[in-house]
Amino acid sequence: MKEENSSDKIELSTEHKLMLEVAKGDHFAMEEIVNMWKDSLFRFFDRSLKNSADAEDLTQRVFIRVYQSASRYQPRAKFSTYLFTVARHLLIDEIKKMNRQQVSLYDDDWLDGQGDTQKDNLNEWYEILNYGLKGMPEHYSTSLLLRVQRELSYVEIADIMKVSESRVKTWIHRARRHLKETLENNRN
Amino acid sequence: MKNDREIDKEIDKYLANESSSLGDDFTQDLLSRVDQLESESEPESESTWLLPFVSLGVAACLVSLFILANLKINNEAKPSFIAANKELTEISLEGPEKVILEDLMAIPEEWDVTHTLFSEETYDLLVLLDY
Repeated sequence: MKEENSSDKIELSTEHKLMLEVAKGDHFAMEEIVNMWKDSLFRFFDRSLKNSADAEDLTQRVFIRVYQSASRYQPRAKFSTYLFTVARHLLIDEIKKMNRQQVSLYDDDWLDGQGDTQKDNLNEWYEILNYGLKGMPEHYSTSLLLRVQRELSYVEIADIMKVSESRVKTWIHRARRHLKETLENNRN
Repeated sequence: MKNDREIDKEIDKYLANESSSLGDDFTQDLLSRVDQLESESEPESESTWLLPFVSLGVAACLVSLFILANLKINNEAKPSFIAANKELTEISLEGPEKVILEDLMAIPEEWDVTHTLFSEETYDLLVLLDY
């Protein structure tokens, strides 16, 4: 896993400076932050939500929230910790909204009516994993995604999720096991 | 059949989702949205900026009204009080008590003694002693 090194610190400091500029209403600074982080956020939401359109919408909402709260931003932690804390809050809100509307997080068309031959390809693997990931509790999938996508340490994930490091380790372990079990149960 | 290590690798590849990305359009759309939100919130921020001054003005008006109302009440109450006092003074000074009152007021301060006056016998004794 990626450890924090000097180049990360320089990057972090740049983001803090950019946030201070954003607080003054500098749109160029905002543009730079968006370009630096949009793909990371989108990949995270894309794996957490039903479709890419929802993921794009939520990514946009994170940046708007960041922009609106820039004047109150305190560079106490790493920028990524701040950003993914905001992202997780919005994700939880979105999942709650979907649950109220009884919208499933995953598309289960592939479970019925699909031919066995399609299950051999990679796309089918990903469909099964998609089903497994979106069927697990949010804190399992978020901790696993932050670990794999962002390569964050357990401490950083614990900081974002406001839980202990040991709990994060347990969640990630269970999330992986759940994905493997889903694969085993749905493969021929 | 894939082994456990290969499965883990495949899971990580799926989770990493590296093929997904957002185009430049996203950034431009987002910045337009930010601009729009900013312009929408401008009049609101102006009114927010004016709010303390407006509140202060309203509070000042209320205080002024309260003071004016009190003054008016006092002014209405004062003449009757003065008139009553005047009436009282006039009555007391015009009667026979006026002389007594003036006499009492004219008594020098030395006279205002609190100790017991000598009795008749004491005066006689003092005269006898040629005091």
